[in-house]
Amino acid sequence: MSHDTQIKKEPSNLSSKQFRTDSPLIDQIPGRKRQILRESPESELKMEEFLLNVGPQHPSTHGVLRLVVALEGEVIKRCDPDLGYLHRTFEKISESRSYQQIVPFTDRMDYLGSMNANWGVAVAVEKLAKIEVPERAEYLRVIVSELNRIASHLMWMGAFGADIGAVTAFLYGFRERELILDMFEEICGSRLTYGYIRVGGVAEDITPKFDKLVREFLDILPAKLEDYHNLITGNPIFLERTRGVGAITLEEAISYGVTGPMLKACGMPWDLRKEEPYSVYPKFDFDIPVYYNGDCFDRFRVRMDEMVESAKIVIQALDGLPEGDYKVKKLARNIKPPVGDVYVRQEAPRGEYGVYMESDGSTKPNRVKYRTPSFSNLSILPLMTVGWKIADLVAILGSVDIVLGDVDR
Amino acid sequence: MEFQAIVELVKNKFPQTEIEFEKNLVIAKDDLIPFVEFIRNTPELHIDVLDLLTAADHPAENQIHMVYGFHSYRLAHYLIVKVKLDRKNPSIATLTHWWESANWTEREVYDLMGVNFEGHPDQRRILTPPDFVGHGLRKDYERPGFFVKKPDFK
Repeated sequence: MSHDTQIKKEPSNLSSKQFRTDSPLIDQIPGRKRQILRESPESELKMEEFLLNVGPQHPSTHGVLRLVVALEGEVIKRCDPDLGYLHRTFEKISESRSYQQIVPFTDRMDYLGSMNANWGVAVAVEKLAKIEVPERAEYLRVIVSELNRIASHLMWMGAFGADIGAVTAFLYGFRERELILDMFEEICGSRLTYGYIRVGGVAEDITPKFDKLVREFLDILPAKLEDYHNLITGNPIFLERTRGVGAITLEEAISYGVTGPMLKACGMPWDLRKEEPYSVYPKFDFDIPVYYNGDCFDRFRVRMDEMVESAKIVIQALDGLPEGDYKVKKLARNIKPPVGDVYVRQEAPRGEYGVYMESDGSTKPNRVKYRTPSFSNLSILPLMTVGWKIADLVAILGSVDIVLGDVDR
Repeated sequence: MEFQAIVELVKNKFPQTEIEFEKNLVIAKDDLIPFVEFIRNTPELHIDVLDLLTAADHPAENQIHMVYGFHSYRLAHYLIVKVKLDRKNPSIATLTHWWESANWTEREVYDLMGVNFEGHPDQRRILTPPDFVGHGLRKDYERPGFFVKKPDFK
């Protein structure tokens, strides 16, 4: 695939907020309102409840999610998600593997944000066993996980567009995601399940070609983002289908344990990279995008802006990459951490990713719990969908950005 | 807020509280609901969200440890609280009246660890099918084989 790298450089602080002022269209279109269900049974025409089964084999459920939806006419009365079609018992398997062997399983949980999933487990083991990681490894971890965040959001943008009928966005999103996958293939030979971030560092050092690919990509990204904004953000059909749809308040979001871009879209500028900085994030200069309506459109804008911020972090980390080892020189084959437990929280593309790990002093963990963002974010779906039409269900579900491997584990 | 200050605050109110691994609070089972009300309403703690809810099986001690992770957005601190339950008949009060996020996470713990949540509005299995037998994350869980009885080839 060839790309035109001659596009002139745009200012890298392109944000949806700026775009909004350029486009009068956005403010002209009012957001849609939730429909109030009719309660009065006095009417002679009685509305019967209609049960609709969506999934598990439905393309817009992004995997194998089954939704049992009770409808009144076209309006959703109740929605009951049925999970577990992709339950692969990773928590149980982790109890019978040594600490290093756990890492590859986490790839398969959140397969669109594998780097972040690897990282959480690696940090949990390092904290338990008190392993010091070289600084270069931390920088490399930041670089790959931020690139992974961009790839994940690009993929989401495409899939979300396809969900609500803008199929072109799908092709655009995948075109740029492909470039990031090429970079990952260069450093770890794998395109989806990387296993790159490991206990004690990373698997391989980066190559000059990787550096070149990343810089080329970051050069073209602002222009591409502007393309997406022109293609999607100002599109009246897109706005009509997302503005005001599936809106939640901040209190609801906090009560349901919603994190990540969904929380930022409700007006909470909470990001673990900023608020409880881990790794080398305090050294970088970046912002947290925040919007206040809590609807599908704001979730879209948060993710679009997060890509810009991630690109900022990557270029800073790449420029400031220190020399040194990329992994711990001598690491025991069987790690035996002392008795104890640890809970590690990190900001994954979908929200807060936590790993709770208990050690009983042997070479295998006693208990590993993955607190995955998709599970918590999906749990608010029954609340979000009530009162919306059945056609909005797909838009709302798409805006949550679930990965079913992450939900079911 | 510093952990030591939190410990002093909690110990004043709940003298049975213990400290585990120098960073976790262990409270008595009956204290859970007063404890939750306390951490939600005390201005020094201001817990906003139930972030983590899980359980760990400890067959050697004949216990199941409930693990709660409470987080305050306003004061940016995190609190891990454990409750030790009897392994034979584990049962604890639900937190669904305080946080909606407890709904699915308690269903998951019920499904995989077999802990009964008193007062849970909708205690069903969530990850395994409804007709699943046993609780998968218990240490003594045995996967049923495909052949329950060995085929007789005589």
